[in-house]
This record gives sequence, structure tokens and C-alpha cells, in this order.
Amino acid sequence: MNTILEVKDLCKTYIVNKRQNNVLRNISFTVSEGEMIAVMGPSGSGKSTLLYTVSGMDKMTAGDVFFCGRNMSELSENELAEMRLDDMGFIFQQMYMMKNLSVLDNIILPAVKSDKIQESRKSTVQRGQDLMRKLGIIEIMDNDINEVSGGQLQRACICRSMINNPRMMFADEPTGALNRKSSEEVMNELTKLNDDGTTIMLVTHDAKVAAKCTRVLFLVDGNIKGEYNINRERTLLDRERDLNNWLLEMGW
Amino acid sequence: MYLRILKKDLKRKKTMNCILLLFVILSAMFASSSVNNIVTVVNGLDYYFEKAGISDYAFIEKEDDSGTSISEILEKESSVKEYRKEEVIFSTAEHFIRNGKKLSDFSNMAIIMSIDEAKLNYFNSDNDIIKEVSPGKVYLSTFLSKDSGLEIGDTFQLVFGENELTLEFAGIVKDAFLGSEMMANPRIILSRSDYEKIRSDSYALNGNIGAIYYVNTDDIKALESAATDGTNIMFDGSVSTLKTTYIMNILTAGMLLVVSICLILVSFVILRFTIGFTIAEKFREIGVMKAVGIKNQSIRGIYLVKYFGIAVIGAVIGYTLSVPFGNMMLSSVSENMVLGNDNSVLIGILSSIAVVVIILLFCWGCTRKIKKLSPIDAVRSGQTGERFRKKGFIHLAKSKLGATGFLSLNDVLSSPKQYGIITIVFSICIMLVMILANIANTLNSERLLFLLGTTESDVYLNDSKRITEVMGGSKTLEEADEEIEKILSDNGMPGKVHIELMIQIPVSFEDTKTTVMFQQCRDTKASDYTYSKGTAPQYENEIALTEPIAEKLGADIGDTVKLTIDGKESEYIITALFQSFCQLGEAGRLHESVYIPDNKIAGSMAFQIDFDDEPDKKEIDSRIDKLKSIFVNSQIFNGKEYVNDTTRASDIIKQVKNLILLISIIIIIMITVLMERSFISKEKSEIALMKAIGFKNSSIVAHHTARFFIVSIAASIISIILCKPLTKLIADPIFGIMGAVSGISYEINKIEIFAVYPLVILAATLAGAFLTALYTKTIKASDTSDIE
Repeated sequence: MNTILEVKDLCKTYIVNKRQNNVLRNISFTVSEGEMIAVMGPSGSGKSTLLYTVSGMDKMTAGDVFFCGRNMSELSENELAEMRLDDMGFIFQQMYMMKNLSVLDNIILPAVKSDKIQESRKSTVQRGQDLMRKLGIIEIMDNDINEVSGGQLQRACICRSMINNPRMMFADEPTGALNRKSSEEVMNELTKLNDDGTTIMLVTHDAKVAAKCTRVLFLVDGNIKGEYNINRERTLLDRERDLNNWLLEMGW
Repeated sequence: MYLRILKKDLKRKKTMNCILLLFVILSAMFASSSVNNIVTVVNGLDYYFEKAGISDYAFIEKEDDSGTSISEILEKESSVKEYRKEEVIFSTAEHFIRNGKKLSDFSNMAIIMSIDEAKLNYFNSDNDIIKEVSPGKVYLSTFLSKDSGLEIGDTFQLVFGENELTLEFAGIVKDAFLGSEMMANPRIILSRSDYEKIRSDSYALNGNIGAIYYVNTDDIKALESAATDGTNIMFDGSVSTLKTTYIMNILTAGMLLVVSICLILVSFVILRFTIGFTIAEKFREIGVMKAVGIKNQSIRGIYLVKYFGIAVIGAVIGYTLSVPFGNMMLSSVSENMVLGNDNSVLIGILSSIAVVVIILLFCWGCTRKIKKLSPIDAVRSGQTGERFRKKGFIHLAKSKLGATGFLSLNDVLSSPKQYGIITIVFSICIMLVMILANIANTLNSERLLFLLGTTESDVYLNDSKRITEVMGGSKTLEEADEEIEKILSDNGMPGKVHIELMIQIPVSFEDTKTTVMFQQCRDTKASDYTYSKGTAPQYENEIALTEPIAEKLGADIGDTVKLTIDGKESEYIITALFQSFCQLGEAGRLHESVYIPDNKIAGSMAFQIDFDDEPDKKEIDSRIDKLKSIFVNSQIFNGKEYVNDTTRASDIIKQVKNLILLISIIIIIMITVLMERSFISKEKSEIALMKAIGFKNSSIVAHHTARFFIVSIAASIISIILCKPLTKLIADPIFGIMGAVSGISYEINKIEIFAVYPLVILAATLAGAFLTALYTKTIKASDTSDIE
């Protein structure tokens, strides 16, 4: 399988109150197309920073990140923005949306903005509605964002991240703010997307969520302490138990 | 604990708190300076006249041994309480020479006097009383120094016969009696020794010596009646008449008053909005405090203490800044007046305290919502600050607009209150400038010719020498007219010449006697002029009077008054009333067939030329250029220039207009910058989200700038629509004071009103919004995760 993301000696340092804080230290790993990779680790280990840095949302201090063969450190702000718009999708823990737009408008906004897909507004709307239908939220398309539940909103966020058919999706604790039922629904949608060929990298604290992925990176103090491949052919329960055991070994 | 919450809030919300502080400073500055200006303007003339020591009545008399002098009348008249006399020398533009040419081409009589003779207080540019003038130095009235282009230290010659004095310009003099734009008699103040030198050549001064009397009286009517016996009076007027000569200054000061009221409105609208806006942002925080059991009263207390602190600091700084700001605003109307009030410090402080109180009241009102909210409401709704109702009237799915354009329009439509307030503020600023521009353009157009008591002509030729020759008997008026007509014909532009004459005629009605300056033109008909009431005089025994004169006499249309013309008393019927800008609005019109000997002509307007071939405007302008080279010692105008030269108002109003344009631009830029900065602060999460999903910096800057573009376009449209009716509403009463009781049609310069001002305001808004929106570049896509 082709490598979609290659991270080499990635470092990220913050200066807070004149003190240097090395959040990521020489991290290297690769992600192949079609993979669903989970990043786990204790709070403050650098999981979210890793996600934002490799997706070009934050600048790296040192190292190289190649996305689809392009070195992100050599790209301008505008090229990175274009890359995020056309080739990447994002889901956040909080369901951030534009507050003055309806749910459907929020979903189609990246498609309207993008030059990649040349289509009529009608086709864009049709695709947005299809995605909403697929994720079971078509009935809320004209709703205001404060009129829907958290689970529905997170699924709307997934629709938004999917609207430009991204090559890779990044999710920062996508189920962190949801109840168990909504979490399961969202994870099922993400798994389905991955089954359809979308590469996914997500940050999670939840072994149940990570067990649905193909690989887990365990981060401690800005270093990858361990890497765990999940056999998706086993039952979810078995995968979860094996992962928990491994996490215990890692000191989780 | 509350103090700790407060301390944290001040630290964390630094940007919003700073913006709020800036708005409080702005409001306190506007309020203090504007209230002070209102008080100053309302009491303006009374304050100035009191400081100058103006009396109830004033006379200007030419020294003449024959007839009855004013001194004799005043000594006899029982209503006179006291009077002061200033000896003066009358002079004309020919007496002032610089580099071999006339210093200035003024047509009114100039008054030369010694500082030791001063019976009024005369002020310099710093509003200090001029008490001493060194030998060789001279103080000149504002308009003379301006017209002549003299700078302090420049010299010129004052020439009377053999006497020639070289004088150094020491500064301007503010003269309450003759310094108004309407009187415009230059006052020249010399040292005693220089004055004596000029005075010594009695031959050269023959007929140019006179006096000004300042009289305090119990009964102005009685004094006026007694003064009709005076044979050498050149001018007489009461303090109320003198006040009307400052109509242009009052007019511009009135504009300032409108501006001040608008500024106060603007500042409180902004303040109300900003406080509501910042408190709405805190609903989540308020919800948390409620959830942990803090009482409503205590929560309100925290915000009241915070806003009280900000209000006090802002009010102190605002008050300090209001002093230079207020002076700057007043400077444009106080060029030849002393404006001020004795309580400015107290008024400023009271205004600033009012700002603090009003802020606290606003804050109290805005925090009332806290009471109504349950903790859950507050926490949930507080996530985005102010989501309590459905938003979005338009949908991207149905729109043909691009993402950036749609987002901007949708933001504006989704927050009508927020952007509506900005639109109102912008509209007020644009409309103010437009209304002033319309007034200035009207004052500078032919539309006011009727107020000068003249008909419309192609060219106006101000030739004081020629008319003086007619008055002196060295040629007849017909000869003077023919002379000009011949010059015109010889130069290939034949035309007819006529002139409006001024004749001073004693008028009596029942027991009231007064002297009225009548106008008459031998070559036009009385029916060619505009009257506000009645019908034009049709016969020789019919006259028209201005309303102030009719009122003074206690007469009305249909009444018969007695006029003494050339020593012969006859009865005349008043058939019409009219409005006039001449003679301080106190004038009359005689029928064209009334015979007036040339030697009874007291003055005139300009010679009016009507070309035989009815040329177009362009041709008239080119002929004016040619006439200027022929009549080198005369002033030549078209109708528009003539109105401007006579009223002298357009320049002052233009100054005020430019000042207000500048103030409006500054206000608009400040509001734009502060609002945009607060929007960025409030929308940090959305900006980060847009970046995260792939919006470029340029798109976000465009999105933010476009919102202000929409607002300023809306404000421009509103202003353009309301400009005409509002001009009428505001300017009609102003022109009414000037005599145009029935209102006038306004000169609206389409390019200025529909293009220049909206574009200037648009450019200012866009510049402010764009530069501030660049700050969005500092927000990173990853900040999406840092949002509180």
C-alpha cells in the first residue's frame, strides 16, 4: 500500500513563560493509504499537538512531514490551506461549526470554497444531502446548529470533513464529548468510511474507540513509546481486551 | 474570591477590556466636548458681546459741522443711560498699499482707530484683550488679514495724502461690533502716535473723520425715533440687529450643535452595544457561577465593579482629551468670535460623571438577563455567547454567491442589531457631511440671489469708484451705465447694464419713525423680484418692506406709511413683504418709477450686465476672464461668485464641512477598527475553524472586510435616500432665520453627494476593516482546540 503520510524526526517545542517545553521529540512514523491509526497516551503526552502538526494546522519546530509526497515544511500558508481544504478532513472533540449557518450550509461550505470539484451548487447540495442521509441526519439539514444534539452535530462534522472527498481524515477525540450511544454511532461511521478507503488518524483516550482502528501509536512525553497493530479479523471484544493488555504493559 | 474572579477576567479578556475602555474614552470625550460646545454655542453671542462690552445701541457718524449730531441727540434724549464715543477715521481699500498695489480689494468702509480710543474690548487670536499696540504695529480684522494674505511680521503702507505709515501686521483683532461676516467693515487698530500722524493731515482726511457711539438705553424705540433727526448717521443698530449680523457664525455654530448631538448619540449607541456585546459573551461564565451557587446579586456586582472601574478610568482620560477636541471643533466657528463658557471645567466633569452613571445603568440593564437565565441556559447558550433565537435568513445551498461573499452577507443579516447599529452610526456621519455640503453648495449658488434683492444677470461688476462718482455728482447713473455698455460693445460683447440702488429714507407709521434702506432699480420692474407675502408694487405709491421692518413699524400689507424722499413727505401703501439678506434683513423696495436724484443714492449693489446675445455659461465665464483684464480695479463675478462674495458664508461652512468630514472619517475608522477587533476576539473559534477546513488568510480577511463593505454601502444608500428630506428639515429653519421663510430649493451637487462622500466613507471603512482584519493572520488553525 502507498504511504500517504510520512513523519521524520518531528519536533515541536513551545516556549511558555520563557521556558522551553518540548512537546514532540524526534517522532517518526508512516501512515499507509487506507489505514485507520489511533494515537493514544496520557494527558499532556503530545497527542493533539502531533495531530495538528502533521495535518499542517500547526508549525513544526524541526523534522519533516510528507503528505502525499509533498514536504509540508516547504509549503506556504496558502498551499497548506489548499491541502487542508481539498485533501484533508477534520473532526474535533467540540463540534465547531459556523454559528450563523444551517447544518447543511456548514457541511457544504468547504465544497463551495474548493476549486477542486467543479460542479453546480445544486450538485454540491445533492452531495451534502447524500452524505447526511448516509449518516442518518438528513432530517436536521435546515436546522440551526443549536437545535440538534451533540451526536447529530458530530455526525454533521463528519459529513463536512467528507464533503471534498479527502484523502485523509484527522480526528481529535471525536467521541470525547459524546455519550456512549452517540460515540458508538460516530465510530461506526468512521469505520465505514475507512472501509470505503479513507485513511483516518485519530486521537483518543478510549480503548474501545482505538480497538476499531488498524494500528495504535502510544505516546509518552512526546515520544512514541510503542506501536500496536490490531487484527481487525478478531471480534471487537477480543481486540479491545488485547489492546487493554498492551496498554497496561505500556504503563497506561 | 470576587476580586480574584475580577482580576482574572481583566487579565484574560485584555483585548475586549481594552476595546471597551477605548469606547468609554471616546464616549466621555464626545460627551464632555459636545455638551460644552452646546452650552458655548447657545450662549455664544451673549458671552461674546458681554466680554466685548457691546451696548444696547450703536451709531456710526460722519463728522460734519452741519445738521444735528448724534452727541446732541444723545445729550437730550432721556432714555439714554450712558454712552461711549470712539473717534475713528474712515478709509477705503485705496489707502492700504503693499508692494505698490492695493493690500486687499475690500469694498466696505474700513475703520481706523487708536487703541487708546477703544471703548469696546477687542480680542487677539488667543482671545486676550488687546490693551496696547506698539508704534509701527497694527492689528487687522480677521477677514482683511485673510483676504490680504498677510502673515504676522509682514508690512504694508497706510497712505493718507502726504502721510504714509509703514505698519507691521501684529495679529488679528476680533471686533464684536463690525467683525461679523455680514458687517465686514475692517477694523484697523494703531498706536496712539501712529493714529495721530494720520490724523494730522486734516486736508487729506476731509470727510473721513467720524465716531462710533455705544449707547446704553432704557427705551430702544424712543432712541430710534430720536435718532431719525440725526443727519450724519452712517449706520445705527440695536444689539439684536448686531446679533443678526452673526447669522453665519450662528448658522455654523448651529451645525456644530447638530454634530455635537449626533456625536453624543453615536457614543451612547456604541457604548450600549459594546457593553451588551461584552456581557453577552460572558453568559457561559455567568452560567458556571450560577451553577456553583453564586447569587444573581453577587454576579451582577462583579460586572458592575468591573465596568465602574473601566468607566472611571475612561471618563478621566476622555475628559482630558475632550479639551483639545472641543477646542478643535470650536476653532472653525470662533475665528472672528470669542466663544467659550465660564463653566467649561464643571460641565466637562459633570458630563464625564454622566458617562460613568450611564455606563453603570447600561450595565445594570444588560445584566438583567442574568436573573432570567437558569444555570443550564447560561452554560448552553453561553457557548457561543448570544444564541437565543434562530439565525440565518439566507442559505448557502440556495445562494449563487461564493463562500466568502455569502458568509459576509449572512453574518450581517444574522446579526441585524449588531450591524444595524454600526449602519446607523455610519449613516449619521455620512448624512451630517452631506447636509452640510448641501447647505454650503446652496449658499454658494445663484439660488440665493433673490435674498440679495437682485435679479439674475450674466455678470456682476463691483465698481465702487464709478458709483461713488455718481453719488458725488461728477456723472449721472445713466452715463455710468452707458460707459460700461460702450466698453462692452467696443470689446465685442454688447449688453445692457443696470444696478440696484440703495436709498436711505425716513419712514413713519402712526407714532413710529425709523430710517429704512430702500432698494430700487431703474431698469427692472418691482414685479421681477420675489416676495414672500402680498403682490409686487404696481404703482409709484406702492412699496414692499421686509418683515423685520414691517414688524418694527407695526405695519402690515395694506397699511399706508409716510416716506420722506428728497425732503418731500408722501404716502405709500405696503403691498408686499419680502425677505432680504441686505441691510441685516431691514430693507424696502420702491417702485421703479419713483424718482430718486442721483445725489440721494446712499449705496448700491454691483452693476449687472446682461449680454445681448444670451451666451451659454462657458462663454460667460470666458467673457468674465476678458472683463477682468478690462476692469482691472473692479471685482467681477458670475451669480454664484457674487452670492458667495456677499454672504461670505460658504467659506466658513466649507471649513466646518471639512472639519466634520474629518471627524466623521476618524469616527468611522475608529468604530470600524474597534468593532472589527472585537469581532475577531469574539469569533476566534470560527476563524480558527475556517482555517482548519482550508480557508486561506486572504479569504478570511476578505470575509471580515466585506461585512463592513456591506454596512457602509447600506449606510451610503440610507444617507442618499434621506439626504434631501433631512437637508430640508434641518436647513429650512436655518435659512428661515436668514430670511428665507418659505424655504428654498437646495443645490445638491450630485457628484459630491452620490459619489464623493459615499466613496470617501467607504474607503475609510474598508481601510480600517482591512488593516484590522489582517490581525486574523495571527490566529492559527490549531487554535480551534484552544477555544474556551
